[in-house]
Amino acid sequence: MTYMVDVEGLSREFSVWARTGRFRRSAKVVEAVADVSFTVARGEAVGYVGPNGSGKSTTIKMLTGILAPSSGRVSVCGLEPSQHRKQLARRIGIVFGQRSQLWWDLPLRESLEILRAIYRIPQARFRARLDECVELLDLDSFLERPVRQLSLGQRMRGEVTAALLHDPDLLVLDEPTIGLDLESKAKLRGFLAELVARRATTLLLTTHDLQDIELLCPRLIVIDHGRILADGALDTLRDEVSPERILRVDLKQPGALLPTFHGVTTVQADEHRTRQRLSFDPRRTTAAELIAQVAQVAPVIDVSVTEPAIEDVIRGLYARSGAVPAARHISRSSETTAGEEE
Amino acid sequence: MAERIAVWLVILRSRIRSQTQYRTSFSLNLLSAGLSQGTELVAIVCLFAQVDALGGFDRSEVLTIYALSSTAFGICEFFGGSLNMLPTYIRTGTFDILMMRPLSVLGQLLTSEVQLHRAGRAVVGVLMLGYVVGATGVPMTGQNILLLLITPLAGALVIGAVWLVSSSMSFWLIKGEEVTVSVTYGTNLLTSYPMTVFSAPVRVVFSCIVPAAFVAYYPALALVDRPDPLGAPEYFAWSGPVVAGVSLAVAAGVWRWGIHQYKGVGS
Repeated sequence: MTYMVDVEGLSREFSVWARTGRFRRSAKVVEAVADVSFTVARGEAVGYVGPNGSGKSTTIKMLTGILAPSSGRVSVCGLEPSQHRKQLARRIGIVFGQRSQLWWDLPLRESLEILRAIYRIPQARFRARLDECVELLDLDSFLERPVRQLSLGQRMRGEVTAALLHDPDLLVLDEPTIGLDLESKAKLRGFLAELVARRATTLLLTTHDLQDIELLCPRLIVIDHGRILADGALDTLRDEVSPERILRVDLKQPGALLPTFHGVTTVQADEHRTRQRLSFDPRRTTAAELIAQVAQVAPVIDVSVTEPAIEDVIRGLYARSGAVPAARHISRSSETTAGEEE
Repeated sequence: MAERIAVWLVILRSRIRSQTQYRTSFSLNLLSAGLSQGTELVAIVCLFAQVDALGGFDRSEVLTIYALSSTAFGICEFFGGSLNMLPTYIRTGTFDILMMRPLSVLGQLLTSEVQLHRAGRAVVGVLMLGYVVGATGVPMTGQNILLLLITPLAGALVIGAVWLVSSSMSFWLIKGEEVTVSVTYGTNLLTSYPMTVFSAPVRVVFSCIVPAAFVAYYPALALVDRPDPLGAPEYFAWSGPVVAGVSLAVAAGVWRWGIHQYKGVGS
């Protein structure tokens, strides 16, 4: 089986100059990505998650041939990215949330026309693809407007269209929803979900916004300090890290605190004791069993079960690894910003 | 191949169209490009109101050098002006966008900002050259006409190579703008005056290491029919194309090395 993305033992170091005295500087080697291995199969949608400076963007740059790895092996669409940059560019689409590949001084439509020429897309295929995106992403109202006049949400929809025109096998999105309002986020997510479902486009998505992952990516790779902390389906990770569920019951009358039934770890109640929360381990009991037990003790009006939020799962992963998520590692872009501040 | 050229034409056309959308700013830019060239010319003329010779050359001879250099500089600026943008592109991440397209990165850089108003400088240069050559009575022999044609072109390539090297420095430096800009306008100054006005160490650097003297000085000597007071051989006047070829080869090497550095291959 050939993978869309096949990464093995991937590492990337940067030398960072640090001031050690008034005039003295010394080079420090920082490992932005350390021994990262994973594969992505065709048609998979994978979320690549980590805090600022965890090595996400550095990984993306190595996958797209912008950076060469210090060591390890990368193969994307069967190509070695940094050696076959141009060939690979025809097979992948990239969206950077923080920079634009459109021409700011031209109408969106003209930007897309230039890309048609660059990727040598046949006119008919271009039309079909564009029409589809215009319809699904509602580009109609601003297709003729210069890119510099577009709102961020409109521009991102344009960027996604631009990345998809040449029918890439793999779509890489680096923080695509950053800064978008709720409606724009929802629209973009809806479109991407459809893309994965209908076209079987492979999706690799880095994000801060865990909702992106929850809605789009069945699989999650969590990275911190340049190392992979976890790789798996969201549900599996949830069970692994914080298996507890919470059963909320609303009682008809105020009463005593409910007993800790088998499998229940804690019981919490509000001041009237009408609403009570039971944390339980689903491996030792089930929600149905618990509800039945509660109903025997007191009349119940309403119940609900909540799973831990994805944020809690990720936090649990960091806690387990003893890592505190914070910006530490330095990627190329933050390196230059640091230089600017001097 | 035809398809490949078509791609660049589409990009060029779009760059040109984007400028004509702002007509006022375009004509103002054109005017300022012509004016800045004009003020430099006035400076030389004023200078010669006070002195009879500059480094042993009279007014019309200095103007010949200046006109040749301006024309070369103008042509280079027109085609290679956006080399200046490289430091900015690297700092803002636009360079990554160029890297992710299936096209030559250098080609994209060169076509990223084609500014028509820059043609103003080249046009003024050509007019000036025509005037000076006519006024000083350079004989219109076949040889001289050929020299007048190839010199600005070869000169533009030499200057372009110097610019390419200087902008490539931003692959190593965090703030490359200063280097790039000083080299860009520095070359204009250095190529515009007779070599004799500079001190010996400067001359060595700007004829041997950076071949600025080949852009205008040596060809101008042949046009005004004077031997080099510093003793350079006569064939230096015709060496422009060879010097351009060598400079470009070196510059291309530095560029490629810079890209490797950027990607971090073997560093």
